[in-house]
Amino acid sequence: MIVVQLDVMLARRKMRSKELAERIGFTEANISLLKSGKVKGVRFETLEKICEVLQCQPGDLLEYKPE
Amino acid sequence: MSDSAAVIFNPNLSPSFERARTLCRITAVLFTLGFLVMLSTALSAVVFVFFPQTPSGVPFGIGLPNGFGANFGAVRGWPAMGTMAAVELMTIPTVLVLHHMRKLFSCFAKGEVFAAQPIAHIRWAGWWMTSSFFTGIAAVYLLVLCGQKQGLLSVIHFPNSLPALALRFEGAIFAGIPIIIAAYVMAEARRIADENASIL
Repeated sequence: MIVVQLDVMLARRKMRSKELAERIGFTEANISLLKSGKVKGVRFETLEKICEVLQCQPGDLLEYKPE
Repeated sequence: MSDSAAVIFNPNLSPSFERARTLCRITAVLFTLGFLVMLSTALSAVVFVFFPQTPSGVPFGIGLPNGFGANFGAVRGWPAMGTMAAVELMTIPTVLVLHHMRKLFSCFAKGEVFAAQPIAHIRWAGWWMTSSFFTGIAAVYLLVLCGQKQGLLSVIHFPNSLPALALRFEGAIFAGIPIIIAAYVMAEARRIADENASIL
């Protein structure tokens, strides 16, 4: 399964979900859904914006864990 | 990418959509031809400032939309520069509209319809079409200032002739603004569809 590590990166960058939401133009509710992995997919466009704001790579945000 | 590969990547595409893609490819080629013609017109205006006539003395001129025209053989110096600027004001928005239209139909041909890129091309085409309403009117006044008379209304005085000129260019604004709105609606529809599908 794919695990979203957004909360880990947010903690590393000492950034709140609210600030990330504002900077990438999302609602906090959607950031919360993304953090909890309750989404079916993430657009490259969204990944790009998050990576730009958090100064990280897509691999830092997504992790594969065998079930 | 070959057609068979495209079908593999887009398994939901029907044979009728394949026909639509072929039509889109043809349309993209037609828009590319139009784009190249308008681009050459825009570039030739720059050349005509420095070479206003043939070696045998025949003046160069450019026919512009709505029956206007620019005769480079009749002007020298600043009026020639102004005439060139007027031609650019009339042609560059059209060049950009054609550029975005050819890119849009290329996206359609690749099977990208409700995606960010084609929607952006629709929006830009709308913006440039709308701006051509204003640049077209400005270009006519500039042509008058530079002494160009081809295709001009009998008397051009600012602002008295503005309504008549606006009527000549109204097609651009009546098409441009709805296109921008359509792009906005498409972007919102895409966002809502993605949110409903839980794709962020």
